[in-house]
Amino acid sequence: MTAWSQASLRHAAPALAVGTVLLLAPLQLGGYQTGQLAQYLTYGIFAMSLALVWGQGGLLCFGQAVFFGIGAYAMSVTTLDMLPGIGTLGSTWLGLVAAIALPALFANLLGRFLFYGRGLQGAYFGIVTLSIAVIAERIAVNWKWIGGLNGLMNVPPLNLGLTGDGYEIWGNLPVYYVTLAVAALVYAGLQALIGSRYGTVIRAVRDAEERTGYFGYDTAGVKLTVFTLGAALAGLAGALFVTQFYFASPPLIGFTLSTEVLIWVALGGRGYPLAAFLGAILVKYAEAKLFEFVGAYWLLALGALCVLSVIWFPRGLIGEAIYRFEGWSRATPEQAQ
Amino acid sequence: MDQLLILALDASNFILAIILVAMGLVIIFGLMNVINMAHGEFFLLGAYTVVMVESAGGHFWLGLLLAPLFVGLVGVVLEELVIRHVYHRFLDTILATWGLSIFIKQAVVLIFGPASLTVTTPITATVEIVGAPYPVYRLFIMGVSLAVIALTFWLFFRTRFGLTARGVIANRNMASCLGINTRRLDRMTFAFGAALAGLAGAVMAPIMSVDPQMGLGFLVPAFLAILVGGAGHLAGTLMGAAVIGGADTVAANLWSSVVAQIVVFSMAIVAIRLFPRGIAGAWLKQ
Amino acid sequence: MLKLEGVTAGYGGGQVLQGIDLEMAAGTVTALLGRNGMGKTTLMKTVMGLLRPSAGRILFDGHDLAGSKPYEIANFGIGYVPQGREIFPDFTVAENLSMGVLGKPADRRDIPDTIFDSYPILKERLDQKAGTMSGGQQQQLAIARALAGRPRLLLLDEPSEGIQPSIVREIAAALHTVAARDGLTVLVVEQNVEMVFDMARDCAFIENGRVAERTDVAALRRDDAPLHRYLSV
Repeated sequence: MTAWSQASLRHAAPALAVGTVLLLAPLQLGGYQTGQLAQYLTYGIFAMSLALVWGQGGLLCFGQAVFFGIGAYAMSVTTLDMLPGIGTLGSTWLGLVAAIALPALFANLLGRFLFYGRGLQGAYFGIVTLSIAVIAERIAVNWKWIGGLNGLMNVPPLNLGLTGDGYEIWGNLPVYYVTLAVAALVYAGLQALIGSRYGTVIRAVRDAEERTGYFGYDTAGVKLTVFTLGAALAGLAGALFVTQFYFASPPLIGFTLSTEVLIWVALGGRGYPLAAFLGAILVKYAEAKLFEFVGAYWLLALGALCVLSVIWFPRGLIGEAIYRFEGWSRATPEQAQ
Repeated sequence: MDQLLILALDASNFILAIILVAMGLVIIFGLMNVINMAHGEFFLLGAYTVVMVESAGGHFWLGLLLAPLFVGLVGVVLEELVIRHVYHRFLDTILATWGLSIFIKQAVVLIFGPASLTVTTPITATVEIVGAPYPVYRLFIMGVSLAVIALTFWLFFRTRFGLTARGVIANRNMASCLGINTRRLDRMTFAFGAALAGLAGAVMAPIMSVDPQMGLGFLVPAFLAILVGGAGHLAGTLMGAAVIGGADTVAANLWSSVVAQIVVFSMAIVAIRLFPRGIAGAWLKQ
Repeated sequence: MLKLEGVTAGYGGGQVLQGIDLEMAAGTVTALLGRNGMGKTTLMKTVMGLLRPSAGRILFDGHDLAGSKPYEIANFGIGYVPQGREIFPDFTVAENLSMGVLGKPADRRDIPDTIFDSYPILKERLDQKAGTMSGGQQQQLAIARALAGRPRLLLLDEPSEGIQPSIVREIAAALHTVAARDGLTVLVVEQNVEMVFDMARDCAFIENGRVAERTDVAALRRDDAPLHRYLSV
């Protein structure tokens, strides 16, 4: 094996290890638990979308669940045949397109107001996205067409047929592996983006927007792209979630879920999609395991953990581990020869 | 016409409360470059201070007096424990104060329960305004708010403390090089901002339902007021609060509170695009 | 009075100062000379606590300043006039001067009258917004603001920058008088050789983050070879 491929193998080692564990996990888990884990995987994809927007783009978004929720509702409305004019199409594929396109469109529109105003810096971004999260939830609660407070029930599962009459992805195992495949694709895509030249530009805008602008980059355009892409991924995650959960309701679009995803990513690590992904899964898993014992203290502990991790581990708990592993694996190949 | 006057009074009420919350936010932001996401919870703590005092047998007025002191003290402690460790990392201050807000809110849930509580209205009298009875306590809220706003302006523009603070806002490093203890000033400012929010929470408690989510309902309009008014000026905060609070009250009266939120938010977004430095910034530039 | 021993400091990764050794006796005016980028301003900022030295000691009257905050250093008795003056443009002249004393102990919070003897123009313009004054007046204000805090050591970073020559002489003369009268120790970074000759006694040439040569103005008047060597004039 050449030194180069050895190094890149080391680099990919954490992701490969996580992938292997997730691939084999259903062997150890019961059917119900596998289904639960599949749901956590969609949260993981959701967390990776925030890792892109916040970790790479430096846009601390307090309303990422708005895009998740739009995706979830778009999928539900489409596959429940509620769209006027297109009849009983019920197409998963159309739903996926809508669930990805609508959040992206909304983010893009919003971004045009937020990023192009001169002098509007990061300070305002969090506030605006926070407000959107609060308002979006209230809209969902009050909008009769999408079920109001009750939400939309009986959302069909993923269906491979063009018009919703094909093979249904049903049952814990198939759903799990399809979701895992999507998560792996999203992860690979994000890693490719982060490693690309454009990924470097994104981080340059994050760290020194003005200076990057001097080099002729349209920094607002870069932020707009990142924000839009992040919204699209969040929408995809929302769509996958609702096909597993069969139920879209206002909490999916609002303030609380936006808060939760921030905590997952903060604790996991904003700098690495893998860390954010694991952060979501582990926090959700811990919550399921511990909630019955600690109850309301759970959220108290999460808040405190969030503060402590910001002070001592700004890279996040898993992110810090990956960072150290990378430092170690960079340091060792020379010695290995 | 009469309806309009009552509406104007209600709007003023809301606007003044927003100003109390927003002023603290904007002072903390100006001085320390910290966006305090836990500011809504300072408001919350103010209201619950009154609840605590009343359940211990104390009177509302005692609670109103203790609220800013207690919340100010909480501010000092949090500044020391959390803020000072992260204030040079801008995004992290947002996240850290966010974590604090979750912590405080959940602590309140654990101690007082998630349900909404009520606080006695200390003044039940009404006065006749254009033929309709209007609660005197609402007028009292306005009086207190106006007095505190005036006091804050006096403090910042007429005292030695204010000059020092404005100097640090203008040029922190230079002020420090002139011997000004920026650490102590940060701590005092954070406490002052917290105390303002605590006072607002306490004074508003009798006219709203006191529950663990009440902070957010004031944090968002206060933030939007700062966005619209411009973070660079205390005067901008006043203008922004007037625009946001006024529009919200009117739209809520015409349609519904949801529509009002949408209208106010859309307005704020457009205003940000048109006046990136806030309406006060655009005004003063000319 | 001020003694730097092997001070190393810089921004982020790069070390601009690479072991500065410099000693100044009380009551002397020392000029710090060198080309751009050699670390003069970095040295000032390090003494003032704006940059943390990564190695070395900064002894001021026997106290090690390294690691202290700027306000603590200021209150030890060091006044600072930064490059670009950094007055508060929206404040009045009086308010600017107040900023120089507000951080001091209560018994030293008045502005000494001698300030206005040296800079009478400021007394006339107490209520004028500082940002509306000329560059030379702003420089005088910046110096007066530092002096108002009654420092024992004054750090001056390029006081002649962007100011017309006649005013430069005036500023140099006033400083010379103040320093002599109050026994003030001054460390001045200056590119303007005229001004150095007018007010300084000692010179230190800095190159590549080290003090390359010490001399005094009298020697420099006889033989200006160091000026050519370190300033390429």
